[in-house]
Amino acid sequence: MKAFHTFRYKINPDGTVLSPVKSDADLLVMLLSALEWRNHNGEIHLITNPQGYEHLCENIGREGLNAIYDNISVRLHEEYVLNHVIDERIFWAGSKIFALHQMDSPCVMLDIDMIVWKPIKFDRLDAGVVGMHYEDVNNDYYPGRDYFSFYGGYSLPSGLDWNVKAMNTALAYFPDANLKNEYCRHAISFMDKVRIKSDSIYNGLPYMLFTEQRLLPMIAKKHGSKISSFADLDWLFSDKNEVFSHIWGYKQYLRDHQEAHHQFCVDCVERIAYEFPDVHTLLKKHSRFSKYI
Amino acid sequence: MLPYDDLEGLLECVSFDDIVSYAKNGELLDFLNSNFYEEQASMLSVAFDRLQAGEIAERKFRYLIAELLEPNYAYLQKNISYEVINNLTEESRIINYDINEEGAVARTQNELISALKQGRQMIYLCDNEFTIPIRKEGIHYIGRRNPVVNVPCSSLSPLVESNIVLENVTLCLESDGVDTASSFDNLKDVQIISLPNFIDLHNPDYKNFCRLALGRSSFTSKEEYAELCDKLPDIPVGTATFHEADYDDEQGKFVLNPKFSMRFYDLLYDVTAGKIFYLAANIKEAKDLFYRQRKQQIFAVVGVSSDGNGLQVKTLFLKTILGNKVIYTIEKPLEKTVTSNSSSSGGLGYGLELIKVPADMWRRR
Repeated sequence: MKAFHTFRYKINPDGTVLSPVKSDADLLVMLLSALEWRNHNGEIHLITNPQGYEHLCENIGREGLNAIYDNISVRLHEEYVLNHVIDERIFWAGSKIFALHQMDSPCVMLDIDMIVWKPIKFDRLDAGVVGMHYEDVNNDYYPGRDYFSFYGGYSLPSGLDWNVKAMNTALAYFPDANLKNEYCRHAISFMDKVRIKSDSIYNGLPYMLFTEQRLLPMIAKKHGSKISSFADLDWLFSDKNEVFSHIWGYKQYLRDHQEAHHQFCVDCVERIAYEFPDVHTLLKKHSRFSKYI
Repeated sequence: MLPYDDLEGLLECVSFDDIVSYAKNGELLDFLNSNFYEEQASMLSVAFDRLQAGEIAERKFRYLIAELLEPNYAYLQKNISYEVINNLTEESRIINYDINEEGAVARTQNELISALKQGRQMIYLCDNEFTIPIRKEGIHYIGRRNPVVNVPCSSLSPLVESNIVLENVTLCLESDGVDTASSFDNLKDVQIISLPNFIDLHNPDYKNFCRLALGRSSFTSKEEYAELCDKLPDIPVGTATFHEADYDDEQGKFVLNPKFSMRFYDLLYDVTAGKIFYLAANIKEAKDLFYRQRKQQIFAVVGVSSDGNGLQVKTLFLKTILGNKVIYTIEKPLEKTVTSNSSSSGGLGYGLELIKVPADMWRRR
């Protein structure tokens, strides 16, 4: 199954560059994510902007990047910047919606901090969209309809069910092109038109969560599509989980704990060395990673 | 002129083979002279003249080059420098041994066999692990740098009966019942290591282990099976021998080359295949281990597998003079902070322990 990573070198609304500041752990997990996907599940594409591509080339190496990804597109720039002005400080993961819009279905949207260690039988998934796991709604993170207001007379589509659970999309399977495109159109419009409250909790987190994780199952339900999840959170956090790794909030822990960060990187590099010696050889050329070898 | 400011720069960038080439074509001499390495330049001139005159062989010349660069060894590329410098250093030492027609030097098991076939009566065993044949009588083995000598017997008597003399070696016998305090005239400065013989059909622990290794039967509950597994003792599953060349003094660890018993193949495969094992030791500890306990037994702590139906290796460790040294253990899962299903903040993430190389992924490089 074809999957894609989205990596965008972010730009502020005023045009200044908001550097992605990827840590070594971030980059190594991204590599593992791509490599493992290709190892078990099929093609892996990278959708990025020109600056993002250069950034990755500098840090991973052009040769390594080309060896890891089956296809690299730098077209994220065009659609994202030319047609829309999105505040990426709020919609830090908004670019993946644009990338999804560019991809043909069926496809899998794979976060760069999400690793799938085993094959997934996609032909047995009977749903219009399959996300990683459900999340409860109507709380601080997922506030109700009244929380959102819009510019230019825009309003959310009618017929949305505000009680349907949100869907984490660190891994999301889109077999239905119509549903995918409908979701993307609404999500992009939402990011374009929503008014960001200056006193929004969690630095505006509810806006991103709505776009990325709540709107999708709402649209799917409205579309009449079946929604499903790969797993539930209890299972994912249990010892039974031998399939999925999501670094998620642990990224922040690693940023704050240098020793843990180092060990984590050593583990990643060791894993790459054992499973993908060719890539490991390429990594060794980069001083950024040599300290973990 | 070589484009380096000093010897360090040269050694960082140039392989040892290239340095030898420069030594022969005069570029190294020019470099040394122009950078005021007068002593080294003088040594090189003498060595080169001797090479030209046929007084020394190519290998000796390479050794002398390595010697004159000695203060900067650390900067040589390790794979090249180690092979060249250590082998030649070893050769240099051996040259001083009193080797006559009856004597021979063996650095490997093959060289030992070759020497025995040639009828050599005195054999220097150098810095390695050897197995000596008991039936080859009257041989005098002399160790250099504490070689390990394995003897396929469980007592010292066969050695005495075969009139085999051992000197300056670590002797490894396959039994835990050897009287190591005994004094035998034909053992001189010999350290004896006795390895417990777990694989004995009369050993009740071994019988228990074999029974449990077959897996949980339908008539045993998971709780009972787990309880029985937990009662198993530490099981000797293989050996590891320390080699000086495998010690990384910067990182303070030995790279181990364990030999695991085929008897435990099923149990160990997932844990060991392709895995590189390390044993942490500072320089003093490493020296102690090398000279006092050069060969070690590897013990496994086994317990019930995660599905409750079989055995699983939980830990591998060595019982050393420095205490138990763990070389493998099942990673403790990271503390999991399961946030509410609505938080979406990610907590500490999930499946993080999967990133470590799993047992079934370890393949020998």
